[in-house]
Amino acid sequence: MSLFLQQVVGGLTIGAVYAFLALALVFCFRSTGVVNFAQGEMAVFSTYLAWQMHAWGVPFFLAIAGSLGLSLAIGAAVYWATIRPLANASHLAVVGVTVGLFFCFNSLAQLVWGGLGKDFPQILPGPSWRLGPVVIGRDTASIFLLLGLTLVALYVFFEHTRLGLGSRAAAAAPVQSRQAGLPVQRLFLLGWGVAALIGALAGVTVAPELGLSPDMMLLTVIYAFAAATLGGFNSLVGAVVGGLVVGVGENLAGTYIPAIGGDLKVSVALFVILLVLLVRPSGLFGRPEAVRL
Amino acid sequence: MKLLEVAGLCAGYGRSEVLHSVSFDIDEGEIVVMLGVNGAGKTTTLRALSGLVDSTRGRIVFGGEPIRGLAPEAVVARGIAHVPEGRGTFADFTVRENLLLGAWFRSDREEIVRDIASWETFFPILRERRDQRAGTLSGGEQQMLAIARALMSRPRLLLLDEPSQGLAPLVIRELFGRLRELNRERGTTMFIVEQNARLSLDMAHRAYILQAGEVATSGPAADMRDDENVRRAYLGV
Repeated sequence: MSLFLQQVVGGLTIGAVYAFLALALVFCFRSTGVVNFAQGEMAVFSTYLAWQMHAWGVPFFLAIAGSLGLSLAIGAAVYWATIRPLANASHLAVVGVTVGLFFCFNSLAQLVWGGLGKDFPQILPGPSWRLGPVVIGRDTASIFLLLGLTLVALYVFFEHTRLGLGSRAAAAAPVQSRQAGLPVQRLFLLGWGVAALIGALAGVTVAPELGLSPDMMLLTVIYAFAAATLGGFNSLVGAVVGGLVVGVGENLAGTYIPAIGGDLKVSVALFVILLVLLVRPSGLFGRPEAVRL
Repeated sequence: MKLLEVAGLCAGYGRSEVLHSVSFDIDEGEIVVMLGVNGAGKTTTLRALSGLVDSTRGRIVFGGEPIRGLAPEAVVARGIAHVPEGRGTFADFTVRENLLLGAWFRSDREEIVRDIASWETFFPILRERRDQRAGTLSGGEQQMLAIARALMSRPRLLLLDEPSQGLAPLVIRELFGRLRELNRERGTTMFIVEQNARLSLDMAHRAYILQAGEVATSGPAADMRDDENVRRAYLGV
């Protein structure tokens, strides 16, 4: 039983990691209409920026703040340079660009910081807590804390602010939004910047857990896609629930199904994506889009 | 001074020119209708006015200022609101959110709330359906929402692209009745492009007939309605 509980807690922890990145994916999609395959690699790059500033002697939390600010600018710059020129192109072209960005950011991190891992400090350092038979690490606690705060902040942004309403509208119907007087390109610019910022926050939060290396998010982003798909891709809550379900499911499957073990865990995520798309394409929390005929 | 003056306007998509030197004008407080068959360039005319289509030559002067070449959002900010063809609503958003989107660039929050209340009184269905998603409204209701959404920007000129399209005759009558009321009671200036000649000529003060990207004829709406030659030559009724 205690093995089971510990595996569930482990699953929730890793699930929260997926959920964090999935939030960035869903935010980008809902505010700009683009599925950014490079979201994870951009997050790794941001995490390295924080590490680098800290290594240069900047106090840890200041380094994180600096990285978040830079990520906002980098996200906006990436939109301006690579996505904006494709305003009239097909979805496929945009997907192609984000896949290209994936390799750019991954290679850039390897080029600058090498392929080996770096030690990344914990946000809440200290010993783990014991809850009966279960051990809960400080990493886990800080991931959940920041994940929860981010979720609430983004929810309020989308549902209760003028800027959030405008962002959703611009992503859902860009041409009509321009007709209604919304500055669509500036809203997209903001959406990309904020998505990169969320990714950076996810990166620095999960880096102690995953270990900072250029490939930190390589598999994580696949799980995050599974989480976002399961949640419906346009639902913030769905992304978090999806992440936790995928994390726990993957951990339990790895522990109790010998054929899966540690090696085939990622196939669980791919299986989830396949199953959701086949059975319920709008996911657990997503709303099917109203299409006008 | 005219509210809107368009002279020698040429516009199109890429290399194919749709409008060849279109000229017309609109006075403050008028309802002006532009009629023409499919492909005459009516929608392109509206899209050129609101900056969604690049115009290559000509003048567009609105309230004494040239506005040709401005971005769509800048045109809205100057006071021209566009109700697009089809259902000009944000289908996945609630009725209230649609109205807020219409006033998005305005910063006078209290006035926005007052305007919403005012348009909910003018179109009572919008108050009833306030929290419903726009996509679930009937065609006529959506058209009224689209108009109210456009009015939320406090335009000096309202552009309507085939408001009668896809609506039942009874609903069209009701809708056009509301538009006339809007014009009479609140002095809203309107420029409407339509295929439904009979009903729109009943409503409008003046009319232009567009044919193959040029203005073929124009005059008071009542005269056009009664002119056999015009009807036979251009409207096919």
